[in-house]
Amino acid sequence: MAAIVFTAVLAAQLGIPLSRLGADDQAQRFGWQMFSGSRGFPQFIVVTATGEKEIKAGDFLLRSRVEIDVVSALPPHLCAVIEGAVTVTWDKGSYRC
Amino acid sequence: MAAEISSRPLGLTRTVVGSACVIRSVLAWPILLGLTDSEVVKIPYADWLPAPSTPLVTLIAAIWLLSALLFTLGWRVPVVGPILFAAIAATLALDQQTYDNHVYLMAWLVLLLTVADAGAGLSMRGKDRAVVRWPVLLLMIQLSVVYAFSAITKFNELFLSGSTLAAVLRNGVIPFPDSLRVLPLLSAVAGVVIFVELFIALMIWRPTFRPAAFVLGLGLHASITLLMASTAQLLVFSLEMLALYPLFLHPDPLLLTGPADPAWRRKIHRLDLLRVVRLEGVGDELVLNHHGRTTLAASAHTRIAEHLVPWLWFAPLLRIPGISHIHRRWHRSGGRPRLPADEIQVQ
Repeated sequence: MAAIVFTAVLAAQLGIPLSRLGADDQAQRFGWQMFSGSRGFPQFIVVTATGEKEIKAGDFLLRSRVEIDVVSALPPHLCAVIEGAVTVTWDKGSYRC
Repeated sequence: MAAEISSRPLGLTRTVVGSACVIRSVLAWPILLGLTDSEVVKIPYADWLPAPSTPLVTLIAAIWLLSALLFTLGWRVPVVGPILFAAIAATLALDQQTYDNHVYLMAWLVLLLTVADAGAGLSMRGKDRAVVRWPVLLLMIQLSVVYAFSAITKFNELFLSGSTLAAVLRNGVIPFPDSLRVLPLLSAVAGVVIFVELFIALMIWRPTFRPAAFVLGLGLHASITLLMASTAQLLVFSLEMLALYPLFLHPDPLLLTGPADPAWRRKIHRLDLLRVVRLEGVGDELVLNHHGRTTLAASAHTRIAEHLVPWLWFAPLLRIPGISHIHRRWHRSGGRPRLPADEIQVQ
């Protein structure tokens, strides 16, 4: 039993970070990537009926961690919390509210 | 696999990791409360997970704090350990933004310490009992895994250029001089950081290189904690990693000949939390026999200090050329170094 538990834990200790290596250029959770890179967040612009508003991503995040996929998470949230938002745009795309 | 070893080093690791858990639980509460702010985006791992609310995050932080205190004291670790693990896991699961490598590491360490029966030594129960070695081996492997993957993932153009260090070496307790914030220099530092992490990961297993690994580890953790922002969280990470170092000390007893002074012997016993020093003979000269090797005077003093708490984390510094020379001269002159173990003086 001890041998099975030992082997299983060892496999997880090595296998989890190995599986996170080189998945893409974005930092990965559970991979012991510590200060191995830095990445800025894109500049988001919220378009409303009355004009445009530049958004700092950090103002709407709990913490500015590099693992967070802000492009997927933030635009729908900005649509929800910014009154009159019609579209959210950034350098590589846009999101219609 | 089933070999039994002393539970004292494991108990020391549990105490330090538990203390890190206490500190982090206090830091966790305001972070988790931030998730209840309607302006802050929620990024759950799954839709069915409960939404963060003030009562929920307060409950998690409170359980975390209480169980961490009891875990540190070694009170019913088989019960408290899983509760502490659950509180940390709940924090990690609550939202993708609550992830931190040091919190993830904390979950691993609490889990492994619980499996290893870390309450068997240095606990409120008072009486120690032996533990099986294989879970302790997993804790030691965890140290190497963290350092090794941390180093491997730094092999990228951005880090090697020094740009990452230029960005993160700011807002620390000790300000990093702007005059040194130049890429060629930081690029060299980046190479040193990778070398140090790989060296510790591999060489801490080799008795010959272990003191060097301890010195480099102390330097690495002191520098990241003091030079980078998020000091408290980096302190927690450093405590977690340094807590594992005593597990690598050789378990053979240190057979010591020294002064007959009862006060000196009591002090040695008080600092010998790992219970590895055997005061055998009486003599004017310090003579230490450890792991088949005999050392004298200042060298013996260094080796003893490398097994006393808390000096074991700092004493390997006495092996550094220069410091070692000063230490030897000091010892010969009958001086009293600040290390309590050098209350081992010739009478």
